[in-house]
Amino acid sequence: MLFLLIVILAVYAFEYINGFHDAANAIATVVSTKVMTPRVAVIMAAAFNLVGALSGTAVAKTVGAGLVDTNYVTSVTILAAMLAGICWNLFTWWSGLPTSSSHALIGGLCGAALASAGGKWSVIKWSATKVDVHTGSSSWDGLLPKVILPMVTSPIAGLIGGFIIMSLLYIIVQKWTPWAVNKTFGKLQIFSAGYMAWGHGFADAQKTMGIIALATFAATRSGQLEHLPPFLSFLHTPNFEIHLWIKISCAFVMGLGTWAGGWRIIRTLGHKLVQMKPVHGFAAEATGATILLVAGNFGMPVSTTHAITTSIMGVGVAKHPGSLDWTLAERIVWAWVLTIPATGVLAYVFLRALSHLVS
Amino acid sequence: MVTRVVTVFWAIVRIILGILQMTGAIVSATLLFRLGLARETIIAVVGTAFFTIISLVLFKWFKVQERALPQKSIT
Repeated sequence: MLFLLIVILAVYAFEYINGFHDAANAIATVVSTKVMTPRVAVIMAAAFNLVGALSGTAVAKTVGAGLVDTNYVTSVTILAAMLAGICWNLFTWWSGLPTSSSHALIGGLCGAALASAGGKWSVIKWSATKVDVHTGSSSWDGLLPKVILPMVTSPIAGLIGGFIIMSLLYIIVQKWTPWAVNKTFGKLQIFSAGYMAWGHGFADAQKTMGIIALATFAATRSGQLEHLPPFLSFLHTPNFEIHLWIKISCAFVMGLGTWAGGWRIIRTLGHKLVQMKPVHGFAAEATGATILLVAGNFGMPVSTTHAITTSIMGVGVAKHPGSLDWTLAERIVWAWVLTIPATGVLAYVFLRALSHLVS
Repeated sequence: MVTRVVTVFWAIVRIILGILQMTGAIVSATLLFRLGLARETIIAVVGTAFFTIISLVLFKWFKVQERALPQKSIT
């Protein structure tokens, strides 16, 4: 019971770090274009994160039950996964690299589950057809369709989408005065930043909701929650489902993390990658948030970071290919490729170490 | 105008090489986890290394994209 509470605390710590690590996704462009002051932007993002986090559970279910065999998931597995995700996120935040918290979480979960199953690869749900018992409709489920394919397709969609939207905007505003462009898109960017923050809450807060649901479900199944005092009975989860208390607490913690702000990554996205004006920020945010919204509705845990970073890159290429810092862009993409293997290995090592400690 | 076309050309080449490297690295890692050191894995690793080397030669050693740029700060 005490161990479950430690695990839930670790999940909240990950959620908080996710908030400030990924705050840049929503506000980097709006701060760099000086449409909003950093403090006002962070407060707005925190509020929209909160609303977005309460708006759906499709991704939470995928992360919690669709990627690894839950029979091998224990509280120790989840703690190892969380510790790996926290370490990787702190390392990339310190390096100023906008990497995906979702992939850190998923890589950690897969590595820890693999160690938990004694190296049996079948513990990872690679690809399977899932049939809905109520409607009879079938869907493609597992790591390949829900994580690996979006990992390749969402950056390409962001790059192409950002490029197309920016090019269209250039055609629309070519006869406008610079003053009119800045004023119009300065206002529109407030909406697009809010939309992006909502999309971040909608996609990212759900991932940790799924993990908490998985932790309480695993603890209930193993009999750890048999004799709970009445005030803790809400922890009892005989079936895998996302309770309201999980939704509200995750949304709140992520909002707090976003409020703290992660200025290192904000500098990378908002200044170093491409120098932006309001029209560029608007195009990048509108593209990124649309990708998140479409993918989220299909239950795909698409990375918020990948969506917005590649949208900014697409906007940079449309502005002028020379305006993008290509070396930085390549460094960021390599960090993305390494995220799942690195957190997988870290979680594997953490699980081995924790298992010795617990036993 | 010629410079602009050349710059855009090298940008497109760099993006395509980047996408090929990213996809190749993900496919290589996936195949390594799924199949171990199989023939498919080795092909994917060699292919990724090939595109990475081309990218390094063009953009790090010869700096073709920077040479095509008339000036750095264009708005």
